[in-house]
Amino acid sequence: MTFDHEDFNLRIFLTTRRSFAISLLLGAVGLLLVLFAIIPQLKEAYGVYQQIGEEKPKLEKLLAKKLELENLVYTPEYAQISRVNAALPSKKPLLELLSGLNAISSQTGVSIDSFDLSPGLIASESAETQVAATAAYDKLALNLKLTGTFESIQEFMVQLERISPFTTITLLDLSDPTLALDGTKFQSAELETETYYFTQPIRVTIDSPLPKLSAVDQKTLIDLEQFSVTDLPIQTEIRGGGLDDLFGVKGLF
Amino acid sequence: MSKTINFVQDRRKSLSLSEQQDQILLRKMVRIFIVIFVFFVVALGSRLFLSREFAQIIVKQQTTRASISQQESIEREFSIFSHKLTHISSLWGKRQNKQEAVAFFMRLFSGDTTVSGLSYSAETEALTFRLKTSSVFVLENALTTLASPSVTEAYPGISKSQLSRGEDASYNLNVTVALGSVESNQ
Repeated sequence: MTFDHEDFNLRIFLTTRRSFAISLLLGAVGLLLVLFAIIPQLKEAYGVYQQIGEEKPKLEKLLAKKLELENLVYTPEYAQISRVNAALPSKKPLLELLSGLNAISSQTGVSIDSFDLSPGLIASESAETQVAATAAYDKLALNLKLTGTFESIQEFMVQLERISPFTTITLLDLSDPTLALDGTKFQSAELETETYYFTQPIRVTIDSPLPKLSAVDQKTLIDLEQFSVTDLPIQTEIRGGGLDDLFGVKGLF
Repeated sequence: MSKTINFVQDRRKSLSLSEQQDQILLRKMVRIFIVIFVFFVVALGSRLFLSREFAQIIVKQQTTRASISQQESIEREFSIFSHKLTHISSLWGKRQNKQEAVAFFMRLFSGDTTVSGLSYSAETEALTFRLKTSSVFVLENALTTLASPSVTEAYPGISKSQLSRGEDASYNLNVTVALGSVESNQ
């Protein structure tokens, strides 16, 4: 009888070396676990960990912004919005400017002899949206001819730069004083002013933080409290004006 | 008496020896496998935990964004307000320089010297005014005043131009003050 060592019999191997076979099986399963389960899981976990690292600061910023927004309406700065809007309106402030001029001329005793302006489009919602988006603000130029005493003209100039909308004098030409019958010295003055209005489109995104006011802005807010705001009455109804119904349509008037 | 011959004695001996070695190997492999399995459980658990955490963050982000977008009108209003205020501050700063300069030169000249014309360019931040003096001697005094240290220290960028003489022997002189240099000096 010959015994061939090279013939491998699985059944005999499993019977005689069961422990070894189980060891081999455990080793193979362990290796497969490492290669196809543990390493991919760890890779994925690391990827998620990195994503969390990216998303968590975003969430913190969003939560901070949400809290800021909730408290914003109670801040003193928010209460000043209407004042700032009056100082730098989003549309051509023609009527507000004329009303302001009228108020300060009667207040200072200066008479406005003539004024000349080129308003272009009159203030309207369409004018507000059709403005070229190149500059942050635009100007409304106005030329004025005034008569008054030197002091009253000086007061007029001071008051002019304290009205809303924000107006600044760019040119002043004072004539020589003339003596009135009562001995008062009168002077005429030519003024060129520029009134500013806001034209910049603002884009707000959810993820962008709320703008912060600088110390200079805070100081400007305090200075703006000295500004006189023109309260123009807003037309809320259209009246017929007592006209007859020319076409005889029933129920029209 | 019969004799027995055991032909597989050696074979049994070698098998029991290898069985002992296999048992030792098996014990080691079981331990290693347990360690690997624990690693697997830990890796799986941490991935599940991190995924849950990440999902919670995303959900929170979505709800916070929704809440912020509900207050969009307030945010838009405040952003416009902030931008406007920044521009007003800038305009204010330029204008304040002008107002201070006008008040300064108005105070500086009185009597026979008058400030008769005044112009201001916001772009170049230059203030130009016309001095009118009743005589050449008054003009000389005005020029001396303009060259005095109190004036040149406050407004170093002063230039004079267009000196002319009127029919009534009065002298007119244009003075330009660069206000931008005042700001940079300060």
